[in-house]
Amino acid sequence: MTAAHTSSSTGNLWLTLMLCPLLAAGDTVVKALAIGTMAAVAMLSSAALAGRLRDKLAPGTALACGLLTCATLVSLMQLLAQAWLYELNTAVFIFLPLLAVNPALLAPWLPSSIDISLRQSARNAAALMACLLLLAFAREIVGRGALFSDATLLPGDRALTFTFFRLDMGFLLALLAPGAFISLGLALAARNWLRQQRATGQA
Amino acid sequence: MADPTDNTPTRGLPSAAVLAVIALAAALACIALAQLLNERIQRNQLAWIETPLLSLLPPGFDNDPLTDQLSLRAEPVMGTAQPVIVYRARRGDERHAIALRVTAPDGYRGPIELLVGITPAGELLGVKVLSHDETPGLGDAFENRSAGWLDDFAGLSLENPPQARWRMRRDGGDFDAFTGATITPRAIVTTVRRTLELYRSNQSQLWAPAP
Repeated sequence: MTAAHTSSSTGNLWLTLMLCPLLAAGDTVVKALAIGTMAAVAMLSSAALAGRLRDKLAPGTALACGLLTCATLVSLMQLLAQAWLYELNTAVFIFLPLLAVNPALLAPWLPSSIDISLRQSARNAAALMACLLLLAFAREIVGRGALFSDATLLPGDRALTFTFFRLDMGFLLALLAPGAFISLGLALAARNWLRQQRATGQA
Repeated sequence: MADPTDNTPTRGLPSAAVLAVIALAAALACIALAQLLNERIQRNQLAWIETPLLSLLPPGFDNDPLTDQLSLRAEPVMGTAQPVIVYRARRGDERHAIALRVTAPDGYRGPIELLVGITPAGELLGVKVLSHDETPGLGDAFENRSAGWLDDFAGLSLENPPQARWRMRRDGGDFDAFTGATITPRAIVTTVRRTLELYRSNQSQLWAPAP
């Protein structure tokens, strides 16, 4: 994770783990935006709720309550999406239940003050979104030769698609789940290389 | 940093009661929202099926096929417990055309949902794929690369080609696969044949007035 500063390495690990299932859903920019937004909503609201509960409950109970509220929030979001974003829902939001557990598992590692914990969650969500978008841009351009190729999933009638080059079958590796991990690996390698450059520059 | 597995009830409220209250509130919230949005969601589902349905049925009917529907289970014929949903288009009392929403259980990556249009005489009007989970770029070629593949079903019936030749060419039948996939087209061809068989042997049931 490039921009995540979670309070402990365990929280950081959870954040990376949380990214994994979302990568499968984020093969285009539109889908990455959709699933990233839902993840951000789930993370922020579960941080707000869990933070309030945590001081009043034993930690184990707080975790159980956090899981319960998080699962409920995701169910409610799924219902709302079925009502107002039907096309997007059939394409992407079958992956929504994957969000039901992860934000709650992240919560115990958030700082105890609600203000700071909300800010922390917002930062985590932004990092998650940035990572999903970066990979989706790369995968969609390489895999489909276009951007916003599935903008028809969004409500309204807009021609947003930018086609860069025509592909007969698409570059499948980039579109399928393994492509997500390969591009994640490449992104991490690039980050490490940049860091190393900077470190040697300073020395 | 508190250890999240530490369960000693040192602070505040009784755990079980809080958990029960939250569970109850969660259940109530879900039920309430589901009730509230039920109508809208059902309308969405209808609109989603309406476009392919109207493009399959030839014009000239005077009922509403979306509501003149019934659902039946035909596991022995269709090979899946998924119910078949039947939409009927009528002109007065006359049979006009019928569309069956069926599931091909044996797609490469999961079930494929099809809408199969049939004339009263048992001839195919067309086949549409409603939903699928096939591999992008390979198994979903009927959506783009071999976009005409599904169109070739129009006009076929159990006599044309003969029932025994309703299989892939490599299995000794009359149907071509599309490049890059064998299992997906085979699943579709098999299910279309099964749908025709279902229609032939259950006509009166399929055309029975909606319950």
